[in-house]
Amino acid sequence: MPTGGSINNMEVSKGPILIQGDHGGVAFKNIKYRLMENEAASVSNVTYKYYKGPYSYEKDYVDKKPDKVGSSPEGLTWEMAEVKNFFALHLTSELEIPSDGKYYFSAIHNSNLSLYIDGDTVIKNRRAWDWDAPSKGSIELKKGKHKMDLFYSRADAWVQPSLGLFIASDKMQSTPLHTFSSLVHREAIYPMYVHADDKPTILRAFLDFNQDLNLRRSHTIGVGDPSGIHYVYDYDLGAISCIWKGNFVDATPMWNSRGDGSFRPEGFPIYLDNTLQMDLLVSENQKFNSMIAEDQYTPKSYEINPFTKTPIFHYEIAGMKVKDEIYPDVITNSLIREVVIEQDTLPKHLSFRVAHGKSIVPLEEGFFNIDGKYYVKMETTNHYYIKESGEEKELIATLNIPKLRYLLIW
Amino acid sequence: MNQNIKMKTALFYFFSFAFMLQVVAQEDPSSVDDFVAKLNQAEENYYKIINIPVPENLLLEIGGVATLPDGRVAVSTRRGDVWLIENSESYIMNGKPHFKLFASGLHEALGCAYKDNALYVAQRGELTKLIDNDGDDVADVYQTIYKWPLTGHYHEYSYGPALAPDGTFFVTGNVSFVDPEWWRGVSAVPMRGWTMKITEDGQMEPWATGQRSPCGLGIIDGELFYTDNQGDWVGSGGVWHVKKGAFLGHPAGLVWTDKIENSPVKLTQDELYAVIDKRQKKNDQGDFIKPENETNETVVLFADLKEKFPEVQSPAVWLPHGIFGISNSQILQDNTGGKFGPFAGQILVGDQGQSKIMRVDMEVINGEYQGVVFDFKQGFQSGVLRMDWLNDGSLFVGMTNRGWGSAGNRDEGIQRLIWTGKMPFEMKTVKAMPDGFQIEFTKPIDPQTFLKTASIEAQSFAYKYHPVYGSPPVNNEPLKIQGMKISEDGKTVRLVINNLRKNYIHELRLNDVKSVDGDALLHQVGYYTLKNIPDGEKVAATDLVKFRSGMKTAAKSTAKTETKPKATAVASNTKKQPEPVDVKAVNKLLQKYTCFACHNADKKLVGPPYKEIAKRGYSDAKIVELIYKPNPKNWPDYATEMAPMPQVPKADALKIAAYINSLK
Repeated sequence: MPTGGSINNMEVSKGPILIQGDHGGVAFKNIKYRLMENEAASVSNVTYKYYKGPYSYEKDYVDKKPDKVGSSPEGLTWEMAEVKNFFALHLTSELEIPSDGKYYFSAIHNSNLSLYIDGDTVIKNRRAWDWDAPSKGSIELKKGKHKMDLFYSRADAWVQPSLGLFIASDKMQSTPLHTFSSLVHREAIYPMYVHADDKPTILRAFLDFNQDLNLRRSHTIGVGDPSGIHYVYDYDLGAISCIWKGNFVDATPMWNSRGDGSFRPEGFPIYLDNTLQMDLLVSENQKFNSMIAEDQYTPKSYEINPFTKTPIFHYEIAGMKVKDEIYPDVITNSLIREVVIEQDTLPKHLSFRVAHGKSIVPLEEGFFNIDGKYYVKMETTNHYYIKESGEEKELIATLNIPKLRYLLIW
Repeated sequence: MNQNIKMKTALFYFFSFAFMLQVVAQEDPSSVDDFVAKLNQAEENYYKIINIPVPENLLLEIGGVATLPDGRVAVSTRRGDVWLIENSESYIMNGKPHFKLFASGLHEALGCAYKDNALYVAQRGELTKLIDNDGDDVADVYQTIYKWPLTGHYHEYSYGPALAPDGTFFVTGNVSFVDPEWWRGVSAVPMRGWTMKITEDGQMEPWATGQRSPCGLGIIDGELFYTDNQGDWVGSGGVWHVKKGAFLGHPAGLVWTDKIENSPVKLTQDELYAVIDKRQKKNDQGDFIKPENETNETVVLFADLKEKFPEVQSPAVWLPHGIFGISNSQILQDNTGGKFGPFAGQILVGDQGQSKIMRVDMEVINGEYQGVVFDFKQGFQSGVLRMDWLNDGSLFVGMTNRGWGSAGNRDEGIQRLIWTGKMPFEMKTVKAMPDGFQIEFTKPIDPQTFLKTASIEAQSFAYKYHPVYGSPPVNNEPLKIQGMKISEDGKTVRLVINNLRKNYIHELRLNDVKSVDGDALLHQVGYYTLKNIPDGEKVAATDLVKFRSGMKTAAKSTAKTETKPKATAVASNTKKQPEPVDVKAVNKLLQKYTCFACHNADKKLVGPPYKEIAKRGYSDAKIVELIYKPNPKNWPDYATEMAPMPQVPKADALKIAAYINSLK
């Protein structure tokens, strides 16, 4: 619940921003604001030219004689089209702009769409499906009336026509310019969340590293904890993929219909590694991840710690057996990681890349801030150092003894 | 038999519902639901579906089923749980099954097996051993036996393990699809489209390739068999014998045969594509063209390629698409020794989309498995994916339909199938003979019913091997039945046929045959895949009994000779004043052409309801065009592609189109 009431009765609608509350630890960063005005844009005098299709692109029909022309007193819509499958429309209207400035247009539509204002191109020939990201464009406009030309053409018989056009500015919320029925509203998908409120919860799924489908990881294991401290372990690398706090995961992408096999961390994940964290660093100039190849890594198992119910991972890398245990520490509100090489003699130059980023700032002995995103606290007798590799800084621990322990704090 | 009833018979012979004519009534069915309900009712006299009470809110989207030696059943689910179910057969004594969560968090576990006090599950990316160290029925260790690579595409499902007699594990992997040729199955990383043989200590031996969507595994006579589904390069579903080194049909996995060290398959994609066109072509705009069925091309059968490539292994039994399922799943041999009824030693095959179980019987001729498929039991609550035997000889059935749809309208669940102890009148099996087939019945037949005209409709046909999604039945030919010989006990009938065709599917439909005690056949049709014609003694001409009024055999079923659609003629027809739609007649057509396998007027099944299609506002001509050349992109929410149906004659297709549009 919000903290009720203002701090004094001098509060007015415009003034300094004050954030108040007593809800425990919160962090704010990258705060941006827009000063909204009570402004609105509108369209009027909509007229149309209707062409029987199919037509893919504007150029295919604009020079032809329209099959029908008329006005659309309802507003901006495709609904005057005589057939629903193959057609093209050229909608002309007057756009009333409330004040000078930059205006952002986005169209949610299928088939092909172009938008011009006073003859200038805003959106050009974008072909899309209903579920694609909106077509977008922006333009500087003066206060007053402008001529807007919208071209919508269909060569696909199988989807209902759907056309929605939204306008926004730095001072104006995104508002629809189309009629309500012009845009087909898609069926809602009921979300499938997985919680870890009662006990540590493990769930395997694909993970889009950095939320990038092209960096999808295939053997990743989500580990959620009632403390709200969660991580994803990359079982293909023996690495921590990401860490976050809050709720555990949204499994809707995996469990809705056929699904795509992936889940989404619920919260703001910090992505850490999508390469091996262990390597042999023979010389100063050597790049990390150049000696031990990914095919020298084999996942062996994870066992459930009978007391904490959290997983302990086991893998083999370059012939060595490794135990990797990661668990939340509710006192420091962090994740503890303990990596143990289960053999007596270790190869020379065995190194573990604890963290990497554009900036690694030492704060006190063994305590580092990484990219301003999170902290690493080394709790180890291993030697560690910061390695500079061009733009990238790397926090490297030398595994001269078979055990490494550190905390991830964020 | 009067002419009227014969006519009806001729119209109804398709699909398993046909028996209704004899058993239930000579009534017109009002809808497909009516057919299913009535057939179900009849089947339930012999095999009964029993619900297993599952706790409220327990979602069992079954991916794997394995009975444990102590009688409990382990099930793995698509949401990654493994449950142990105790007393699943206890309802009779008003007992309650007990559900215990054994393991969780797995990545879509589409199979499980029990071995030496541990459970083994195939997850998307690995074969996992679940170990319970302290005996509390909760897994303590999740051990990776073998991990395989994935790209992370949704279609990269993995199935198994099937436990081989030597204690090793067979696991299979789906192909995936990538843009822009989203229709072409690919093996983007090693072992996609392959069978792997994996040892307990994690050694993986590539075993065979050519699989597309190898969801159903089964060990029969100690050998690995699997089912695949209709798709690109796969004309229809079927049951394949997976010999080591076999190439089973889909070319995707061949991309690795010269790249991995120990491939038992030597055939390369290039060698295959040198013989058969993969049809990877672009249009003027530079976009790839999706291959579509060519009606005027030379037909190539997959089995034909065996002469050139010995690794080619065509199905032991084709399961004609739409008739015997649309998404075949697990294979299970009846090893109950008769507890499950008269079909001991035969094979059950599940189907997800049609929510049913088929029955297959195989024999070995010239060293190759081949055999026959019959309908067996339909009416399950959801898509049948997995099965195993309970200790009482009943069948435990695990189901899910999420993402594909199914005839059974529940999304998931478990049920049991038990034999009631009554003997159904069925074709027990069909065996190949040097001069035809021998049909064995479960009960003695009434010979008089066999001798009547039109008792048998029989034809042969095949499926094309081409890069198109599915194949229509092609090269159909009526079988010329010369006569027959009925055994003294009345339980077997030899049919002598003089136009058997090797590697063709032979459809035998017995319309009016009754047992001596007056039962009609529960299921009237069997489809025999004749890979080899055996040597042996032929029926002596003197022993041959001719049919009383001459045999009529006709290729009248759906599996009709391919007709070339004539789009122009169709278009002109639509200009005519529309005739009133005869719904009953159209229902018969929908039946006949297996449309009902995937569509219903109001309900979403595998395909969209006809009412939804009507809303699209297509012309009748356009619908006909889409029947001949479906455009799967039209229905992005239904990703099971429709197969082209060029075998539907234009006149019938127009009637169907008019009916669909009448539902607006």
